[in-house]
Amino acid sequence: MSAQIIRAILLALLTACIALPVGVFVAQWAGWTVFCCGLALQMAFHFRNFARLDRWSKSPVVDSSLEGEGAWDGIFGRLYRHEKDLRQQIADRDAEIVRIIAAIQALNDGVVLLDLGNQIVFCNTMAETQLGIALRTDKGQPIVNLVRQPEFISYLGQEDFTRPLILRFDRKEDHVLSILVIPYAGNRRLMQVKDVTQTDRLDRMRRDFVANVSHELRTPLTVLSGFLETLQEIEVDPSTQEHYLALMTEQAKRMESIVQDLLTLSSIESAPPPTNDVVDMASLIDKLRRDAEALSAGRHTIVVESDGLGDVRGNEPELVSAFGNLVANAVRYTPTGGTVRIIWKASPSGAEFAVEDTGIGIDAKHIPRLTERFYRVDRGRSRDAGGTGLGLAIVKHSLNRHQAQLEVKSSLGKGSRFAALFPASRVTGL
Amino acid sequence: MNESQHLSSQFDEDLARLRTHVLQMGGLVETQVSSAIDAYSTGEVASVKTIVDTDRKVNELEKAIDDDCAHIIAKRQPTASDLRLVLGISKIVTDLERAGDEAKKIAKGVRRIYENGQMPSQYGVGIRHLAEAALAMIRQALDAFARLDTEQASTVIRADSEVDVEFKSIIRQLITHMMEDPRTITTSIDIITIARAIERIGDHAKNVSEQVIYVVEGRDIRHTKEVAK
Amino acid sequence: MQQAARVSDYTAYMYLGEMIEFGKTDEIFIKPKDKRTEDYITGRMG
Repeated sequence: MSAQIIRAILLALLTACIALPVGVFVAQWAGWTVFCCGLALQMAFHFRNFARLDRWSKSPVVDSSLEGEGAWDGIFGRLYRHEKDLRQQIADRDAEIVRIIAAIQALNDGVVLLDLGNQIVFCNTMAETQLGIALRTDKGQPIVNLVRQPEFISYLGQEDFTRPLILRFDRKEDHVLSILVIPYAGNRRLMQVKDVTQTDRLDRMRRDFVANVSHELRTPLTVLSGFLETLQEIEVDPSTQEHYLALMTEQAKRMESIVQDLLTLSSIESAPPPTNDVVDMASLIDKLRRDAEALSAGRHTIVVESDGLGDVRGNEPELVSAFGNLVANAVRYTPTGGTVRIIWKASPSGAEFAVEDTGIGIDAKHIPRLTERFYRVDRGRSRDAGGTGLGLAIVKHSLNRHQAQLEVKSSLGKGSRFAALFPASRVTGL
Repeated sequence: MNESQHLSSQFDEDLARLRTHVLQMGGLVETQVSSAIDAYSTGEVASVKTIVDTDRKVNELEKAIDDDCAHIIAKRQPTASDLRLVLGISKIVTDLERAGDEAKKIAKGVRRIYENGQMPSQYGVGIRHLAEAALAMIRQALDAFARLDTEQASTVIRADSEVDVEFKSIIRQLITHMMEDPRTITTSIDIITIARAIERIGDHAKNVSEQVIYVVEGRDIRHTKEVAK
Repeated sequence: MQQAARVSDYTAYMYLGEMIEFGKTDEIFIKPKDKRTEDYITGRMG
């Protein structure tokens, strides 16, 4: 039997004990009155605490307002502690969830959690950016309502997720995403979204490069073989033979320059960093001017803008070759009567070597790709002019090795400006 | 829009499935328009065939969705927001199907140009920019429908006036072009057809957005200059 | 409820003795003003 019931019975007996003598010695009704009053007092006491509990239970607040008397105090105390503990547990668990979510947000990949109906349960900010969704507005929405590419919809519908889906968002921003779905916790799914634009681009560039090299070499090779076959099978007169041999030599030279450029590019890539030998810019620029005049053969005006100050620290042959390439391009792509300017001057961050021309210019869309290997704006023109398609790639590499940047500005029909910007650390004497 | 659940969860599922089908159809139309733009820039006439194949799926979806709508009306007698949703979907699906047809026209126009040995990009003229704008409008309109977002819907409706302005400017440029050099007439006419198809795609996106506003607010703002509150 | 829609020009929706909304039948059934009306006639409540 519970302690409280025993206590209640004892209190009732006590009241009876007090009431009994009153009843015997004063009057029977007095005794009963005392007994009833005693019991009533006890009931009032209990009801008061009962009311407190009732009020408190309607909106449990963990503060000191829950106090009772006697046995009730024990009850209230235990309730209070229980409530407090529970709330603490919930708070701790919430804090843990917040930390876990922060960890998911910190991931460099996008994460989307989907439930049985492929509805969005959660996604991190990276996923929001990658897929164009927002957790705030799209929670609960089936993800296929917002990411509507048919390939994605069918990918989600299948059972086998061993291979990721490569999704191309090729609009203004060229994005390539790799999406992998991982089932977990029964019927939930985790979508891992990786941005593989860079890797994809590199792969494409590598494939293009190999294809380009083969193509560039095969063309002159085919011509060469053709002539060789002809000469083996047919009797030709000496002058025709001379003619053929000249053409064949031309093709062989072409292949040679391509191979040479490839080797140069490769050696630049793997060479040790350039030394700090001082390269005399004054005499270099003079040489460039003379070469330009020779190449131009009087068709253009060559102007030099230089205050004669400042020299570059680095590898002379490389720089001569790089600058020479820029000057030669300017001459080649400027029609007769135009002007080519060779500029060497100080700049806010160091010094600048620039070649300006009034030539045919380059369309803005080609400019970011100019320094790609074998990239040509206009195949026919460039090949006729003897180009291999590797010149600018080599220039860019050489400049990079000297911590310099290549800056290209151009206007179709008006002209171009190719500038090599050297940092102060590479320049002396200014 | 009423987010709470129907007493019949089957009805909830039916409506959710219907909405997903509409958006699936939207996704197909988006790829059609996107392929058409690619064809324009790269001359990849193979994508014309893909667009035509996708068109078949789009048409089937249109019929299936309309069928579902009829079923829902008969079986559930939807009212209020549910009714507006079903009616709205029926119209949205028509606009999507027509947008897909316009994408087909673009692809065929591009194919004609390339077959004549011309390159559409010679005509510069901002067709590509116009097409990207129209594609963005379709995407936004579909997102607005998915989220039942009237603000986004209004943005699309406003964007349509800009597209119309740009379209007229392109037409003017092409006409000048044709007058200056009669040899360019054939190709210019094809480009005008393409531009018109793009402009119509923008209109269809606007129509979808108007339906979104009808579904959410019950206001029919078609043929007026109003936009959402 | 469909009966109500068929026979009446005006419809009132009342809940527990309180009038929630009153108006032309068309409007109540296509674009009700009060959410409680909408919940009832679309079958989300009751």
